[in-house]
Amino acid sequence: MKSKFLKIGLPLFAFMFAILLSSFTVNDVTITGYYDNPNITGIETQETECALTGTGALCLKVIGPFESYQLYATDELDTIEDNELKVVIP
Amino acid sequence: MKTKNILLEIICLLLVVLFVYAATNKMFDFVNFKRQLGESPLLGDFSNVVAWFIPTIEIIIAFLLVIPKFKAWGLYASLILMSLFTIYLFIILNFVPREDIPCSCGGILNKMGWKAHIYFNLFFVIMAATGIKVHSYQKKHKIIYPTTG
Repeated sequence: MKSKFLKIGLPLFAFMFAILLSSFTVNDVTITGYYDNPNITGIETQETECALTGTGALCLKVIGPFESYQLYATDELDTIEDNELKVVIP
Repeated sequence: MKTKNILLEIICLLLVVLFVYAATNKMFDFVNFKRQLGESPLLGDFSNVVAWFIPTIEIIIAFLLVIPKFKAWGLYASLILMSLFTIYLFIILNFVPREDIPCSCGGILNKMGWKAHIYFNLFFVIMAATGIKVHSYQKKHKIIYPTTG
């Protein structure tokens, strides 16, 4: 009985545990994007699913109907090259 | 003697958890995994094939590790796979200029830095090597232990 548990029960438990753990920790693809709203002092942040390696359109933080600001990967904004976040197309 | 049996079982179970976790996590988030592989300077060109190959081989090894007859094969395969992953990480860390290349690993492993990931892998390389050593000792001395039949 004990041997059967060790032979089948433990490996089964290991499989189930790993699958459950995996389902709870699937990659979170959101990152923090940075933008500068001139009406607010300092640099603002926004959680986004865009990426530096995205191949789609540029990602914007839209505020109301007339305001939108480019999202950047770091708070250095456009002072460094290729820092713009873009939409990820699977 | 019994301690060695228990040690071998623990090593195999930890490797099973690692491989099943890594494989299922890649499958649950397959699109993202494939995209990250595509960005790899070493594997990018083969990302379509590698994206399927890695989780499949991980699951196969996990099964080998729990079937008593194939335990040794599973341990050797674990050692080879973990060593290859470690070499890959080492190359990325030391010879690729861009360190912002995303790690194509799954779940919580993705949160580790490249260096932490190398140490993590090395730990499992040592585990697999220890498992092989214990298994061959038992085979040499014809020790039959109840937990693996």
